[in-house]
Order: sequence, then structure tokens, then C-alpha cells
Amino acid sequence: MDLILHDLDEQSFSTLPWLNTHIAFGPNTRLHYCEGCFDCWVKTPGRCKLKDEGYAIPHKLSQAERLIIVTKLFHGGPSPMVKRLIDRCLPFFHPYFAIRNGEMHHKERYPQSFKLVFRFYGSAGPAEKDLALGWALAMAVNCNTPQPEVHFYENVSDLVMEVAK
Amino acid sequence: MIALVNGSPKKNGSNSGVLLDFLEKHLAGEEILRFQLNTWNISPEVLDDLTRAERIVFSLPLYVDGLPSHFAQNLLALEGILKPRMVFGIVNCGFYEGSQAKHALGMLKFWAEAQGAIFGAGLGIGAGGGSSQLPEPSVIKQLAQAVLETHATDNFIYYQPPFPRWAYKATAEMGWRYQARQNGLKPRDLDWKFDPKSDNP
Repeated sequence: MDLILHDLDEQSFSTLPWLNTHIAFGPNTRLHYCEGCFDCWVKTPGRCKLKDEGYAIPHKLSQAERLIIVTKLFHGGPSPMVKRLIDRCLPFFHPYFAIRNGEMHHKERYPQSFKLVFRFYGSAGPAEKDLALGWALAMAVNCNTPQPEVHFYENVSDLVMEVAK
Repeated sequence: MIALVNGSPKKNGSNSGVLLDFLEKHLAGEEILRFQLNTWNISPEVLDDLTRAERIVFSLPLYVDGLPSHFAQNLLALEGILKPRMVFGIVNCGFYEGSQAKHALGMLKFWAEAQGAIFGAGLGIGAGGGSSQLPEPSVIKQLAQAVLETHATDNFIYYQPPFPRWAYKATAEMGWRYQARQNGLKPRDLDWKFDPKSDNP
């Protein structure tokens, strides 16, 4: 199963050949932003206190083979919409720490590992793309997943065309 | 006027606020206004005041290697509205290494430059999760100087606390267990896993 976190409009999303094999959260998902309360670590471990449509995201992630992040570039990072979906993955992580790549990261809550795919769209200079790439690589280390796939597209139509190939 | 903006989503007791308290002490004699952007609604009064700021210092926590989403949403809403001359950033990391803030600081720098501002300096604070219990990070003074003298530093400044990583790891994990016990849990409850057979997400 693929878990897709995206910010595409319904029309662009529906033209992509991903249907039936995925679970997607996007602009239609009604969810609050993560407030960093840490209840998902020390009060109801693994579960968010917010019982909105974002509640299930970390649970779906625990079963996913791939996490696909489709986002407009926002100053070298993900769009605020997609970041809201990503931040709600916090219950997926364990509060304890592990050292990976010589840095401190979070211990895994779940033994299984997924593959990370990033599809960034929107025009940006090389420095901004470099930053997005660095962020994607850092996220992969944080999630303890293998080397991620990272793609850049000038705009949504290029993305749709490439993915549909 | 210098605006000190707390970008933590927490209403009270944020480490981002503690770090701004440290900074403010070094900015005596300047006109300072404190702001809290802990939701994604910015009131017209706050917006009015913020637009007057000539220098802005944002202080925020690192969330999944980047900016907290409500903060990114606020930056988006403020695009083209704020016209500060200089922007500074403090990003506090729950992890030991301040360098893990580099991507979040980079995003803030790109945003600042897109608003026509000079990005003055960015601090990545390691072990930032313990800011309220720890002494002031030595680099805060450096940032204060850059703010006062309105000069820009070339690189981000990363801070690691003056104690070893293993000690931070052990102390932080003890803290999680303490909080869990306060909530009536046992340490092993922290390992809870979603089971699709028995849990209805």
C-alpha cells in the first residue's frame, strides 16, 4: 500500500494512475496542525489526541510500503498544507532516541520500513532545490528508511505527465 | 522596532519563548515588541504591529526536519505584507545537534529574502527541548550582537550543549518515563503499536 500526502487539487490528483493501490490525504482532509503536546508519546502513546481526519495518518504509515510526498515547493521545503500532514505523523515515532548517521534521531516504534518518494513541483532555482533535496534526505534518515527517490517538476502538468508515463 | 516572534504552537511554556527571553535581556535600550504566532490566525492588531518592525527575530521549534506547519502557514499569509529590513531565526531542536536545524533555517532564509529582507543570522539550538532547565546558550549573545549592530553573518550558527550526548539522551528518556508515570502509564506502554486487526483507526 502507498500512503500519499499531497496538496494537489482534485482534478490533477484524479488524473494520476495511483487509484486503488493507495490511501491519500490531501487538501480535502480536515485536520488540525500538530501542537507538539507530546501526548502521543507520554499519554496515549502512538495515538494523537486530535480525533480528526489526521488521526489515522501514523497508523496508515505503519502499514505502508511507500510514503509518497507530493508538494509544491515552499522556500525550499514542503507546502504548509503538506507539512501539516507530515507533522501529524509524530505518533509514528517513539520518544526514545537512536543514533543514526552520527546524529540523534527517534527510535522506531514500528519494525517495518517504508520507502520514501518525494515529488516536488513549482519553479525554483538550484539553491532552493538543493535545500529541498537536503530536507528530503534528512527526513529519510529521521524515518530510518533507505535512500529516498526525489523528483522535481516545473509545474503540476509536468508532474502529472511524468507520473502518468 | 525589533519584533521578537514566538513561532511555537504551544500557548504556554514554550522553549522558543525561553530562548527569546534570553535574547531580550541583551537588547536593552531598543524598542522591543513580543508576538506569539501559536495559531494560524493572525489578528489585525498583531499584523499592524508586525508591519512596523524593522528587524524581526523568529524563534521556533524544529518539526520533522522543517518548519512547524502552522508557522509555515503564517509565513505564507505574511508574504508581501511584511517589509522588515532584516530577519533573524532561532530554531530549537529536540535532538542534541543544533545542526539539524539547518533546513528549517534555510527555508526561513529563503522566505526572508523573498520579502526583500536581509537574513541576518540563524541559530540552531541543540538540546533545545531542555531550554527552560538549562543555562543560556552561549550563542544567544552572538545573535543579540548581530541584531543590535544590524550586521549579517554568513553562516548559520549551531549550538551544542556543554555536556555529552549520552547524558542528554539518558536524561530526556528518563523525562519521558517520568511524564508517562504521571499519566498513569508504565514505561513499556510507551511502545504501543497500532494493530489493524484490533484497532479501528
